[in-house]
This record gives sequence, C-alpha cells and structure tokens, in this order.
Amino acid sequence: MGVGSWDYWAEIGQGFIDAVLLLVTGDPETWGIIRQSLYISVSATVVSMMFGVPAGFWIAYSRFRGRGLLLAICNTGFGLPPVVVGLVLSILLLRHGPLGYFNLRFTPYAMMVGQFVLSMPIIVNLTVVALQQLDPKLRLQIKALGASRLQTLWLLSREIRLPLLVAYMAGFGAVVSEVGASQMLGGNLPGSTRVLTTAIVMETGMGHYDRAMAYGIVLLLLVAIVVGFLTWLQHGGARQ
Amino acid sequence: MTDVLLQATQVSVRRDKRITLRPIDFAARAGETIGIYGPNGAGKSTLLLALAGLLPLESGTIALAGRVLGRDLAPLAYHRRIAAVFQQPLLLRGTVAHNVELGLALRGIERGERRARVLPLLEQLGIAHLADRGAGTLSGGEAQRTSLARALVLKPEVLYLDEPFAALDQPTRRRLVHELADLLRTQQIATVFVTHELMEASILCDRCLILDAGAVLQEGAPDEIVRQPRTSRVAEIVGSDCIGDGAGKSRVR
Repeated sequence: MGVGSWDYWAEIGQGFIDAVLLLVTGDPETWGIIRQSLYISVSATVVSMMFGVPAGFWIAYSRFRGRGLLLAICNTGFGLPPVVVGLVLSILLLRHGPLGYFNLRFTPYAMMVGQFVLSMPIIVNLTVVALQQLDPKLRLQIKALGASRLQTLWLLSREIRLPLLVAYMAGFGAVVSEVGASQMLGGNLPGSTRVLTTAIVMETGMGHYDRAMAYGIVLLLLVAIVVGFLTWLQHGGARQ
Repeated sequence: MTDVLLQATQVSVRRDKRITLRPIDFAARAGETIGIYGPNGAGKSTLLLALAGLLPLESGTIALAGRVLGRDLAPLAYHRRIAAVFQQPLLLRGTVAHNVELGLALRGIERGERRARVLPLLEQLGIAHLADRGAGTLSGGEAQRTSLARALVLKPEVLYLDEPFAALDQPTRRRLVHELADLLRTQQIATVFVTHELMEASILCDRCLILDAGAVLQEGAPDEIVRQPRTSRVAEIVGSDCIGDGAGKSRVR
C-alpha cells in the first residue's frame, strides 16, 4: 500500500466512519473508556483544586523562608515530565515501597494520584497569579470587615472565581491528555485503568485504527471544549 | 473627660527591613475624630493600617477599651468592633446592597435584619436607588458612598478612613466630607482620618497629628497648628506662612 494509493485512503476513510459509528451507536467499550477517563481526570483535578487553591493563598499571602523556591517549583510544575512522575510514583507504590501498603498500583486510584501530582502545580501557580492581580488592599479591607480566615478565603475565591475556573480547566486539560504517567501507573487494564490516551496508544499499536480514531475524536473534542471555553472567558464572555 | 477608647503605645512598624514608623503614642476617645496629616510617604497609611491591626507591629501595643490587641483581644474580635474605608472603594462582586450587608453577614446576622439595618443608611447616603445595581457599574462617588455605608452600618467603635475622598472630583468630595461630618457628629464613633487635604481635616477633625518621615511633629487642633506651627518643617507641611513657638506668639516669615 503506497502513499496516496486508493486502498490506503479507503481504509482510513472506512476507519473514520467506523469511529463515528462507535460513538453514535453508543458502543459500550468505547463509552466505558470515555467514562473512565472523565472519572479519573475529574476526580484528580477536583482534589487538586481542594488542596491547590488554599496552597495558592498560603504562598501568595504569607511571608516565609523558601517562598520564592516554592513558587519556582510551581512554575517548574508546568513542565513536569509525566513519565518522571510516573516513574517516581511507581517506585513509591511498589509492594515494599513507602506507599506499597495501599496496594494502589495498576488501579484507577494510582492514576488519580499521578494526575493529582501533575495538575497541582498548575492550579497552585494560576491561583497565586490570580491573587497577585487583585488589589493588595482588598484582603485588608475584607479582614477589616471582620472576616475570619475561612471567610476571607471564601470571599477572595469568589473574587477570582473566573481565574480559578481557568486554573481548573488548565489542570484538567493537561491530565486528561497525558499518557506517560497514566500508562505506567494504571497499566491500561480494560474496564479499570484503560483511558482515552492509553487506549489510543494500544489500538494504534494493534492496527485498530477505527477505535483509535474514535478515542482521538473524543479527546480532541474534550480539549477543544476546554480551550474554547477558556477563549470565551478571556474574550469577556463572562464579563458581568 | 471621657475615657480613652483606643490607645496605642510606642507603636512602630518595619517594612522590608526599614523602619517606616518610629514609636508613636496615640489615643482617641469615643466620638472624637483625629486627623493624620502629612506629605506623601510620611507613613500616614502605615500608621492607620497598624492601628487597625492590619500590619504586623515591630513594637508597641494597641488597646481597645483597655484590652490589648493580640493579648486579651483576638484580632478577629477587634476587627469586628472597627471598620475601615480606603482610598479605593474596594467593593466585592455583587450588588450595592450585598456589599453594604457584607460585614453584617460575616457576623452571622440574619438576612431580614441585615436589610432593615442597611436601608436607612443607604437613604442617608443617598444611594438607596442604587441598592440593586452591580458594584462594577457605579461611578467613583457612588462606589465610595457604598464603601462608607458598608463601614458605618457596622456601628463600629473605631472608624478608620484612609484618604477616602482622594480619588473623587472636587464637588463630590466637598459634599461627601460634609455628609460624613454630619454622620460622625450623630454617632459616637472614634474616627482616625488620614488625609493630605487640610480643608478636610479642619472640617472633620477635633485633633490633628502632623506626620513626617514616620514621626509625629506636632499635635493639636487643625487651625491651631496652621496658626502656630511649632517648626519650620510643620509650617512647610501645612503650608502656613508663619512659625509660632506654640505660646500664642507668631512671627511672619
């Protein structure tokens, strides 16, 4: 089959049609993988927000030794190589490793931990940036109104809710399309740790281009939704 | 003479390893308005933030009604007895009513009672018709009135005002100063008022501190300071032509 030959394009075209069919007919295997992908990545990033946003407040508003270093680490976090995260966590999760007791390796939870680690720096960093854009006196004003620490956290979070949404989307977009750590920590087990990215790698390897393309389309759509939403926000779609 | 309500003793502040406020003593009684006047960078805002418990102190103590902040008065408890208005209105997302209610909501006061307390004040400040407008749609004067209402509705024991009118145009400014003077006269609030407008100080303040380079140069009634500045530096700051020795004699330069 040479490049440009009729057979080649016919097969690819057929694959694409089959991919669309798999999606629209609600093929259980395909949709199971989509569901699992969303389940793992949404869980991981929600937990990331729960820890990352307060951590961002802490870094933005307290003065301590090593604060600059911590900020630098979070900036590095944008470029944290997923395979290295996968490697380090794999070692920690080994049966006799420090986290081996939990027996998480090759479970969706191990993947969540990996995606949590990968999305955390992004969320912390974007939270810090968002807080730095606020008028520094705003926090003092809120304190002077008699807000407790928790109330201050809540009120300031409301002020930066759009940047926080952007932070969430950025974190989600990064981990849902990540393959290295997911493959190493999850192992691509059908019905459990098989997600869009690991499935694409596997199906492509096995020559099942229709399935690989179906997953690719979904992944592209997910990322397109995220990016489209972020663009809409940035162009003042949420100016109120 | 009524008892001292707010008492600061030897308060100093260090910012970025630099002393920005030398040890200062400060006292205010209920219902008294005290002005802090001085050139840019004199440390006026720093002193105000320090008194309001919003800056870490390098030394000294602040006491409200005899209870020392951080020792037998928790910062949160202190902040629930004071209020502050800054140069920028610093309004939060939401409507004018939502903003004015905010301090009450933080204190756990029911919605119905919040409304009841907020309305008369909105009317007094002439912004009742704006109650349901978004904070982002207000003019500068309207926003600053909202900020004032948000502070006054709390019925604070001490009110801190950090150049609240500086960003407003002259007519709005003049009107608000007089309205505020009326409001303060009717309520027994101790007020600390930072300004670099002598006119405002003389309308609002019973007493005035002249601050320069983090130190108090002179203290007294505003017109007295203008008439009898103790040093040439004070005369320069208040823009008066004569220097007095503080005993009634003054000479023209």
